[in-house]
Amino acid sequence: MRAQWRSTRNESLCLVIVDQPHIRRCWEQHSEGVYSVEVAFSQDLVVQLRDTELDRVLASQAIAVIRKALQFRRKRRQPWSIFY
Amino acid sequence: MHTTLRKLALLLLIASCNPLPAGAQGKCTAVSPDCVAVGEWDLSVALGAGVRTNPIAGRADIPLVVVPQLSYYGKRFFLDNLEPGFTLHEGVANTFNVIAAPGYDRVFFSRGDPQNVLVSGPLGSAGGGAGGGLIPPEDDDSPPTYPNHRRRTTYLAGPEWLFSYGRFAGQLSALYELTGRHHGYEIRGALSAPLIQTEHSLVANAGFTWKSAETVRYYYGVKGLYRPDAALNPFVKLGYSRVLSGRWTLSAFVHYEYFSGEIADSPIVSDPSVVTAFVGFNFKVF
Repeated sequence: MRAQWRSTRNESLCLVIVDQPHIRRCWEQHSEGVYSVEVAFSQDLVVQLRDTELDRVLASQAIAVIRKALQFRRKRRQPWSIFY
Repeated sequence: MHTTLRKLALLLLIASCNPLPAGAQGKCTAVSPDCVAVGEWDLSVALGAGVRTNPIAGRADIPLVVVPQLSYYGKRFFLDNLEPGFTLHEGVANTFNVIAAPGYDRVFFSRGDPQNVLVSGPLGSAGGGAGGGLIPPEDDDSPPTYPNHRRRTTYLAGPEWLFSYGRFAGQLSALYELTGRHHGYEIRGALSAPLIQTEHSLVANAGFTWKSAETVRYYYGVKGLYRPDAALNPFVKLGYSRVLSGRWTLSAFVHYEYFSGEIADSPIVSDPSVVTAFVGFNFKVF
């Protein structure tokens, strides 16, 4: 996952992922930031920018999991049939 | 017959106890000519030209113009054209189903058979009817006519074993006629192997159909004149396809079946073999 933020003025903030406390990246007095991390997830992710005390949510973005997992199986052959 | 069934049951048991090495095809991970998505209907229609020769004296060959294909594969239940079935076990190398399948021989006697109606378009005049009455003579030099009974639509059901071994795929089924017309059996076996697998696909098949005496008599016997025994018919089939786009595929096949003497010697049979050939464009509707 690659997250990028930008502001019109310098900010002190942290990027966190809800329910994944081990992922956190903070900036002190920056107007932009980029953070890349490898993450595996099976539920929707919510990525947030918070103040450095983590009390206030400044921005939030959800990443949805596409749930249509198709299953496949082998098709029978019918060499006797007229239908191929 | 019961000895044959016992042997088949033993073969199935051995297969289940000693799994064969998985074929090169491996597990299905995407839609392909051999793999389908579970829970989705598949309808396609092939438009082209072809023919199935008719080995019955006085009966016209069967034209092939439209060949529809409808299939649905659920996790267990499936419908493959006219053959419904239920999967008991599916593995990478071995699959065991219980299937029901129509008796194929009726197509030679009735143009109204579902297997003919679906592939031939409008019913032609030659060889129509349901197979009752007398076998009509082709011309003045034709052999004498024989009393002919009506052959009705039959369905057979029984276990089916599908397996793969290296580049070979095989199937074996033992079927009993359960629609109460002749109470016969059939054992069907086939092996197939891809000869070409590029943008062109060429697959060779070879196999056999063993028909019990009851089955053979129902279709090829003549009351009071000819009482055949069981018959073993070998066949070969070559199928070609090339995907042209997401919906269109060029398809062709030729199928040759040779009749055992029990069928070929029937007075109503004029040709000991059947050739089916078709070439056309297959359109995937959904």
